[in-house]
Amino acid sequence: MLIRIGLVVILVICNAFSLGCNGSHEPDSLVYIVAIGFDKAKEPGKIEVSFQIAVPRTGSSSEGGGGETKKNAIVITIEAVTLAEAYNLLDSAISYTPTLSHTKILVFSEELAREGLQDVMGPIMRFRQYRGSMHVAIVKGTAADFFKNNQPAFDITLSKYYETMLESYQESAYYLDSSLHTFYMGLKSPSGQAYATLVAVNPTTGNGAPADSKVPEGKAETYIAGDMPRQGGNKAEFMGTAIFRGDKMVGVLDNDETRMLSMLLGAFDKGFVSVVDPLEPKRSVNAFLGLEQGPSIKTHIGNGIPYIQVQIKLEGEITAIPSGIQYEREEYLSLLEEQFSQVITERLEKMLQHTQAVGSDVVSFGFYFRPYFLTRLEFNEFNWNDRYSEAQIEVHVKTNLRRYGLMMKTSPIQGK
Amino acid sequence: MKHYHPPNMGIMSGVSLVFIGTAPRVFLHQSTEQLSINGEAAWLGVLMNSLCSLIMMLIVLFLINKLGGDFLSVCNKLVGKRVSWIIQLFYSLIFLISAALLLRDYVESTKLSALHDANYQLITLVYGFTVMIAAYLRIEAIARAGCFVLPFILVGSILVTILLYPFYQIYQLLPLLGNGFKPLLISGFRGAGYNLLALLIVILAPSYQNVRTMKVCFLWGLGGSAALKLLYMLVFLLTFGVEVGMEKILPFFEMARLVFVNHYLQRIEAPFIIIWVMFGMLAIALSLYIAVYLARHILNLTILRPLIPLLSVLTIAISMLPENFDQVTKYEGLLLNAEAIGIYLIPLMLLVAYFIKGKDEKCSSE
Repeated sequence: MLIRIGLVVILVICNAFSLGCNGSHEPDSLVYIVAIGFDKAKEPGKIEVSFQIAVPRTGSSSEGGGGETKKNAIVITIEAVTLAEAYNLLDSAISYTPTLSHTKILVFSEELAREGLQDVMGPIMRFRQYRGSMHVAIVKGTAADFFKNNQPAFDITLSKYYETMLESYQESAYYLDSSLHTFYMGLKSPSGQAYATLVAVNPTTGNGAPADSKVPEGKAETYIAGDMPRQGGNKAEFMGTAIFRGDKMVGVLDNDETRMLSMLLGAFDKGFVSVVDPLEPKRSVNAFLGLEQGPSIKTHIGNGIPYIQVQIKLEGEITAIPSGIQYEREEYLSLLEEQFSQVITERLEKMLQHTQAVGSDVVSFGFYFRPYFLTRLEFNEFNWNDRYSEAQIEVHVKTNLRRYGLMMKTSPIQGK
Repeated sequence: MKHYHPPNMGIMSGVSLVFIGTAPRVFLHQSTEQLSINGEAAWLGVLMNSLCSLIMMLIVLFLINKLGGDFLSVCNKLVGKRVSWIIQLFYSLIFLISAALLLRDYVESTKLSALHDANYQLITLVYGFTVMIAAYLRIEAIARAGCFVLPFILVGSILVTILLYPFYQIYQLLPLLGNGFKPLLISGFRGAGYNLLALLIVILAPSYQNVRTMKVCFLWGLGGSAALKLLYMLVFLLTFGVEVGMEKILPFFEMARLVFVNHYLQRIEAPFIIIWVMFGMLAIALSLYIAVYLARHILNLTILRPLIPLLSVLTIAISMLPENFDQVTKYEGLLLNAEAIGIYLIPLMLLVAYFIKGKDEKCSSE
């Protein structure tokens, strides 16, 4: 009996020690770093690390009772050799213990990304406080500026802001959600390259600068983050995609190209598409389109040249016919469907040409060539990432307009 | 003084013991090692070594069916007492060292994942004492605790498999032969050593009703553990691929922490750490218990329990010998070679001895 009691006592002690109480922290002794920014420092070999830290107990950017603006976050920028050193130095600047366990986003400046992210990514993947579900973004300008200008317009915590912002990409697919996991996989993959969300500070002056990738029959202008013509709202803007070759950023996809990328990735849920009215070219027609099914990607290798055949099926509903032409009728409908298919095909081809020109297979077409090889060595010798530029890509798009919104047909406006 | 007598156990206990004894490394870095050796074909390697170990266990069972008794008595009858003594010593040492290295692995893994601020020696001591107590409570207690843990392991595994679905890239399983046929063949055979502890069923043969019962324990225990390993390997490959997968030191932990469904369903790794540590403690206790059981035979002792604290301290001491994690993996590689000898060479040697001595002739103990 005595032995049994002894065993129970030892087990209880063991339990107490093996629980997480070892090294525990009270929540009010911690500060949560919501976002981390990386900029190139003036001094060679150093980086500027900006920590956007949630301010405990407030969590709102709305006006306070005394007319004073409550800050929901502070930004501290530290110049250091590595991220780890900057983290150590941060501890000397704040009284709380900083923790990265709730960090939502890592923002790299374009300048740093174009020089290569290998040195910065290493410690991130090794340290346990980072996790694959964090998001990665590339900022035009500096990350420190981006954080300072990022004042969510609605009463929302910063962590929730980043989460909802990046999860709601499916509403338009004008930017993509790139998690740390997918980004890192892209950096290491022999079957494709990495991409990241493009963000920037918009001056909100109302003067935009359209990108130049618009196709003739496409009606809408295209933009990248920071260039959208708008006034008001949060200055932080998410639009477009930064594309990589190896660990170096080599280009930018505008909002429309990003949407095309999302179609090829099978991530295009829905979005409005505007095209020139096929029978009245001065006007446009709108449809709310989404992928009917995942993209069909077929590949083959002929005479050493990789061939890719992409089939995209879209479906959706007509949302606006300003010309009043009855495209709902079967004889006109196919004309309209063909117009949408043609515009999307051209946009897809343009986007693919762009990525081929910079040698960045962000769609990861390389995966579809893997079945032709029996071993890893054979596939690595095929050297897909270097051969992407010479691939022959054929794109077919089929659009099915199945619904017409809440209208059966458009009646003409009297007197016009 | 009461002589030690193996307890009577049912099929469920046997299945859970085989499962516990053969699957604990799936929560550690076994998947990463398989991935490094076989690349995309790592899952085929897991399938191969599970099949190989099942075949070897059935060979041992065949011998027990023909000669009666347990594995130790079969050794006595076929190769004589002296060689049998050496075989028992060999197995006892393997199980002891395996327990020690597994203990070190679990200590390192929990320090990396959950108890990162805790003192390494303290974790080792706490785990060591827990293992000692589990072994002291004997095999029935380990088996029953295993029966409680198994459903949590299974449900948890299925949950992670489903929740990681958005990250799957099916083409990461190709090229089919990964790093080639030769490494696949070598590691497929060698990896059977991970399942050596399944031998406990035939070592403790008197605990089971008959050969059919033991066969069921092998089939379900090894089959279940193979299914779990295969599932983890496939999910790991589909999610991380070879290049990133090879970097991960704790594949299952990484899989669990990648789960992000929404604001409310994320960071689910914490409950898994508890489950896998419980599972690991039971596996270490089981390995230690079998080592002690064999030591009792070797030393021809009538009782078993006094050896448990002694060998537990020895296990803790051995676990602290490697200076760093790299040394642990090197020692584990060497141990795996010894385990492969234990699972292939000795049973095959016994089988050859059985055929040489004549199938129908009743083998003597000399």
